[in-house]
Amino acid sequence: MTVANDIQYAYAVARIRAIERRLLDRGKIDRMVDAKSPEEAFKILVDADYGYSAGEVSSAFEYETLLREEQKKVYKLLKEIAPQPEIFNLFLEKNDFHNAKVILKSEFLGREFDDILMDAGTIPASKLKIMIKDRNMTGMPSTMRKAIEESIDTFNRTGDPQSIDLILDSATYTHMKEIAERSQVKFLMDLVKVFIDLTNIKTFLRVKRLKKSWDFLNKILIPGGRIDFKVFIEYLETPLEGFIEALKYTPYGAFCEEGIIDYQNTGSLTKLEKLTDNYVIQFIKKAKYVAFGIEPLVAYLMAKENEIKIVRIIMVGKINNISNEIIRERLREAYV
Amino acid sequence: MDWVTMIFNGNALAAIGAALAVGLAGAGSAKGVGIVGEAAQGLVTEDPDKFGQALLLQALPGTQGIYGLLTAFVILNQVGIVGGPMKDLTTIQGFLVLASSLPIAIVGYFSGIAQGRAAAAGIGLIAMRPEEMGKGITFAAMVETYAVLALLASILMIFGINL
Amino acid sequence: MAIIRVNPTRMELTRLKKRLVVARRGHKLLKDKRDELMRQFLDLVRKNKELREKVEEMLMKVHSNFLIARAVMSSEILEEALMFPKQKVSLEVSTKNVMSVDVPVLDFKTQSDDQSNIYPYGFANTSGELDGAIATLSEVLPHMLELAQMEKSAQLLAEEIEKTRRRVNALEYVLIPQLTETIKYITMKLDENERGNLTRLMKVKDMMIEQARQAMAH
Repeated sequence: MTVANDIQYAYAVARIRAIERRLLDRGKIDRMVDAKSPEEAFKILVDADYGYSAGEVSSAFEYETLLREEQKKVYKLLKEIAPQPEIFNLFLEKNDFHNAKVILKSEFLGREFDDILMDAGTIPASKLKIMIKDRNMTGMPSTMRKAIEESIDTFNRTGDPQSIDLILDSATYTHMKEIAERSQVKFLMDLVKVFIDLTNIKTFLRVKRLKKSWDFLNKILIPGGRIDFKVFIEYLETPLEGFIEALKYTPYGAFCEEGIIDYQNTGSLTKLEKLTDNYVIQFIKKAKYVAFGIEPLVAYLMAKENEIKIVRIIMVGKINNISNEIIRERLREAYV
Repeated sequence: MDWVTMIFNGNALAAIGAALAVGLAGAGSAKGVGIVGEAAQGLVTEDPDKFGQALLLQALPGTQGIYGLLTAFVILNQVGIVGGPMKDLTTIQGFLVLASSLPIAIVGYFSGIAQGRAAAAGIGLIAMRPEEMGKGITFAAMVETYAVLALLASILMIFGINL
Repeated sequence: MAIIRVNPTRMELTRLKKRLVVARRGHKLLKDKRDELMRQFLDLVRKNKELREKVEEMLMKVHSNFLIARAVMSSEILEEALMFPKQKVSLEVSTKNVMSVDVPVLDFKTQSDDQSNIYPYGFANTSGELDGAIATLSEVLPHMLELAQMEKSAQLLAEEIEKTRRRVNALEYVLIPQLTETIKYITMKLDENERGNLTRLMKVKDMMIEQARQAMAH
């Protein structure tokens, strides 16, 4: 699965470069935020050729359909043009894990929740459902199988639904790391490390806010990042200043300081979450300087996911009459 | 040892030189043009209007092949294989001709690929900013310098050899 | 004012007089009860209003927190996060007697006392904004139950006040005047009978005197 010859990517990269121009830029995003009605904002989306059925979806309230379609469109395109489509499983597996969570929880609740299954995973949701129901999981990656078995076992012992999420979340990242390492692409390995670190930082702050024990924290932190667990455990019960100081020597120091200080002042993680997303976008912007290779493709995927997030914030805001300042406060940086 | 004398025959060495010049430089160009071609396909799939610009970039790495062919012609002409009468070269002369074909053969091969990559990156550039095409071509054309220098060296060497 | 159709006898009069006394006492008691109910009701309504405003404010906060959490997460992830609640609440309903009105008392117990143990989802894919929404929601639940209890009590009290008021009015404007009238009527009737009797006796006495005088004259 190693990327032997980056020249293979010439076609894909050129195609991505051509499509990248159609990403929503700052100007279009601003126009959406300033739109007077949800319909007006929605129209900008339709003009940007979002989804498949832009012409048919008439109501702005159906924006989720469009976003879902757009996401599918991106995955489909990348799988089509990438010389090694299996690398993109790195980004699709999280949907499988989501589906596994839904399937396990509905089994334990005894109710169907098929409408919140995602169909962008690597294993079709219906197949995954049968596999889990029959407890016949030989067809899935071993990390996933182990995690599902562990969460079934833990739930049966404790009856705690949170444990399902915690175990599967951790397995999601472990699995991503495995795929990245198998691909031998440094960019992907670094990206997954960034994901893990950022997730751990946010988890740490939330666990600290809930005043949970270090034991709990230790259980839910995701292994494999750059920041050692010890740092988190050490600062769990001390003031946040120490934590900021400890992060200074990591690549995340600068924005974490800003985000955590804002959190201390407002008690809300809004700013930090936005800054972490922006960091990821900054990280993938490196791909703009790469002419051949998987980087621009990955960057496009991330940029699109980020854009979908931006659009969702704006549409929810517009539909619910949330003021423009609150919307802008949460808007992530755009890739283009 | 008949084949040894055959290989070290001056005329045979000169012919090998000509073949290397065409073959390697041509292979470099083919690879280069191929890379740009792939990239151009990607661009044109999304944006058919940029066909003309993409074609221009694709043509850039094609020159190495032409230089190789030119060198080969000069060699063949000097030796008399083309346009006769064929001269009788000594082994030393044969080696000299072979050596003079090497600059364009080696540089042509590698610069062809390198220029292909630069031009394919230029395809990425015109995908984003079509108005900056001139700069893209300039960057890719810089590689050409070394192909031209190699061609010059090859030609000078061939004419310098006293046949 | 209509009077009750009764035999205008002395026995009836005594009976009616007794009833009147009872009615008057009842009237006074009911009036007191009504005033007290009224006082309690107004009290409750005032408290209810305060609580209601507080709950509404908190719910607005929950709502906006949810909206924001909703905005930064896809709907599938949000629903998955919340599909399996962790905290279980059991509710017990008993009643309390306020001025002879049985008002409900709601008593709830959560399965786990740990306030940090109410989040049923993982942290990696969810936003921190969701934590805030869930925390506020869990904070608002006891107040909502209290509000439900208060509103039901107020409703029951209002019904009771209405009923009492109708009774007071019935006593004040119907029964008591009726009784008074009837008593007056019987008294008058009896008085007239008395006067009739007296006249008759006087006449008989006159006649007897006349007879006696004639007998003497013989």
